[in-house]
Amino acid sequence: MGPSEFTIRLAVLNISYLTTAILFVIGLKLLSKPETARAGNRWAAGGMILAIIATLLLHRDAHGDSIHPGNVILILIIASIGTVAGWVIARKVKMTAMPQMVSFYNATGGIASGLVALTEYSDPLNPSKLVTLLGITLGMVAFSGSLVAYGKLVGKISDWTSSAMKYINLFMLLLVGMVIVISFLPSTSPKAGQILAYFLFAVAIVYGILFVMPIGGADMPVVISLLN
Amino acid sequence: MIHILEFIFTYRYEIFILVLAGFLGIEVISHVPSVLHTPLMSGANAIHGVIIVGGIILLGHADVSHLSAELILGILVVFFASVNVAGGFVVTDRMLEMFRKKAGKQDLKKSS
Repeated sequence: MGPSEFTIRLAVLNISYLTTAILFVIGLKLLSKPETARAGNRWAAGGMILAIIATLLLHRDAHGDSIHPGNVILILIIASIGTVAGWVIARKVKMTAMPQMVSFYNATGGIASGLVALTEYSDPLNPSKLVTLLGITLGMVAFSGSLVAYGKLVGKISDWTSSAMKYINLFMLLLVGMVIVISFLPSTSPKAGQILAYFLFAVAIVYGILFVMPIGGADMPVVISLLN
Repeated sequence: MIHILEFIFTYRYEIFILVLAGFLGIEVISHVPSVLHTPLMSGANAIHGVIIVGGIILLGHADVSHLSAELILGILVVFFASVNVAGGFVVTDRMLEMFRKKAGKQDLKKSS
């Protein structure tokens, strides 16, 4: 967010975001004690709702346009479909299948952030290319990695270990780094940069898969945690 | 080299926030009993769903009169992120429900 002129609307929006952040931290803090854990989860959920409502009502783009009512309706429809889907799956799933579930949600979160970063990349006003490119990479690695972790926990994907894996992963990491560096070279045109961003998107997905492949089932919670 | 310094200078506030948030995260998460690790991970995952705000901004300013990449991606983002948010919080709540039953009296006193 760049410097913008003071308006009451913007002030309220930012105070809402600040409140959300505080609610998240309080929520996490409460989550760390068994007695208060449930309340903590609710606090964090409350913070999320606040952030969503504040954004819907108060956000303005670079031209000062607020979100159109038509778009608000579209957003609400899609968000409620997603919410119902997430809710129903979360309620129905067996208690023993919880780690898989978390892994699956992790994947949805990952793809969401990857896609946001990808669209931001095409915005010429975008202030920081590096952050965006990292966002694409991390989001998509989290997405595909979590999906593989999910498959392993369910038992559909078996471990696939090979001594060459270490080198392949190292190579993938270098490839990601190289793509980011290339897109920063002054000789890279915006058009080529665009293609590179999509390329990075694809490479990150493959990297996520390869990264989780050789890891055994018992270590999965650690992996999910890391991808988080 | 000068570019790196320039970058750090331009984003000095953001870097401050990032570093301090890192410490805050470590501080909040450490000293957690190991039984709570799974719900905590799940809760943190749900919080990550805050990316839905990015999706709302994206879709909110997208042109709905015709199909564009922005529109389609925005729809996907809002959908996936809302699955993440709702599912994440509900799953965490369900995990914690089990603690409640086990904890019994002691828990009932404090929560309400």
